[in-house]
Amino acid sequence: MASKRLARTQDPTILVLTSLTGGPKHGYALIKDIEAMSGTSFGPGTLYGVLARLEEEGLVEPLPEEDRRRPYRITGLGARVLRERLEVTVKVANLGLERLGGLGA
Amino acid sequence: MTPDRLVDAALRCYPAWWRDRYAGEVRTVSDDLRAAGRSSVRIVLDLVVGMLRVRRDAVGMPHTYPLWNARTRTSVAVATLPFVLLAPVVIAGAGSTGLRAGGTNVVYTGFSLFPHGLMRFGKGGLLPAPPLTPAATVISWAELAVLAVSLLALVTVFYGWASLLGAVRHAGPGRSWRVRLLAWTPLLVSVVVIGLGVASTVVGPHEWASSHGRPMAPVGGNLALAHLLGQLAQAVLIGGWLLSAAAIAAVARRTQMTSFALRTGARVSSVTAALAFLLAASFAALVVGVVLQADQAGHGTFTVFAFGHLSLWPVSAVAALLACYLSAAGAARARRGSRVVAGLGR
Repeated sequence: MASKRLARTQDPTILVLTSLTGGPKHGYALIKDIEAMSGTSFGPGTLYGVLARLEEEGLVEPLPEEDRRRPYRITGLGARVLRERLEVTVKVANLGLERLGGLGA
Repeated sequence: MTPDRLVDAALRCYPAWWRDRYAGEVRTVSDDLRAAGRSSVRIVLDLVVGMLRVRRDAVGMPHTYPLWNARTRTSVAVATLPFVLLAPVVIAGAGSTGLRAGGTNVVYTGFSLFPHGLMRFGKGGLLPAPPLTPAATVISWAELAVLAVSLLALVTVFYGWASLLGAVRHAGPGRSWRVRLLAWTPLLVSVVVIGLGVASTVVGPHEWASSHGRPMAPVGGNLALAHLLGQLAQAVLIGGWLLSAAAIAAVARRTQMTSFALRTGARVSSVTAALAFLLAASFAALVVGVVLQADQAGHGTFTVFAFGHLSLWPVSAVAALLACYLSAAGAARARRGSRVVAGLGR
């Protein structure tokens, strides 16, 4: 239960940006990739809310539509922002794991 | 309703600019998810939640003058109109009070905003009444606060309406007569209500008299007609209040406003939000007073408040909280919107 709650607290923007580092993806491919990557299953309303925000902030950009599906790709700015956020996350994760080791957990 | 229609209905609730940009893609993703076994209900619920977020935050809305102008106007309407509609419910819940001590009515003597000279009817005529309980004192101040906030709200709403009339006039001769008529609805309703009230008084009894120990009876006039006109005035007042709010919302939706008018609207929204908060706080103090006075009132040794519409109180509390939330949320968006519109210039 607690692990499920923690999974829900994952920042959806980070999940979408991380998924797009693997190459451009359209909506359904993004949902499936994020589900496989983190166990979080987005609905279309949530996903396109996140994509609209990322697009507005210039972190992702749409590509021409292919067969009613429009792929998105991460921009240079998006990659920089994602790197900064992940570096902080890694620092926190390493520190947490180190302290957990000290506790013998 | 089929899953396809449910998805379509949910998508239709999104703003037009969002539908133009994303609806096709979202439709395809929803179809793909359903084909992969995702429940339609889950998809539709997610779309509804997403729609509420889009309407609240306008994330991704293009920075164009007409779109932001419309959004700011809607925000002003959201900040002010629910308060205008819900405030009477709160006031009705707080009002209709009477003072009681040991089973007898207590009256104010003379004009006083705060009950100093409390009197009650006894065998020898008017006698001094017991003092208010501390909780009843809280209630009397809370009632006074509700009254003061209501008056301030009335002034604010009137100022907002006057600004809207100015905006309609400045929108130019292109405005249809329907929009102008809608803008004047509150005044038309007021005239009708006052007219019915005056007519009720004119056709009613000229005086009340009692003879040979009989109960008071009307003299002259038509009591039944006066009663009918009075009832009609009340019905027009309630209906007209709702109609006026709807008419103002329609006018605000149809009138493109200058950035100055939008800034005024944003200020009115902020004041309304503050008043909604004060009204809710006053009402909360009133509720606390009522709960406490039950313990403090002791068999006629104190004067306490008696309320006529206690069943309205839970509704009033919910209405006050809702008005607070909508006003605060609307005012914040109206301020942001008016800044964006000013930045877009025109």
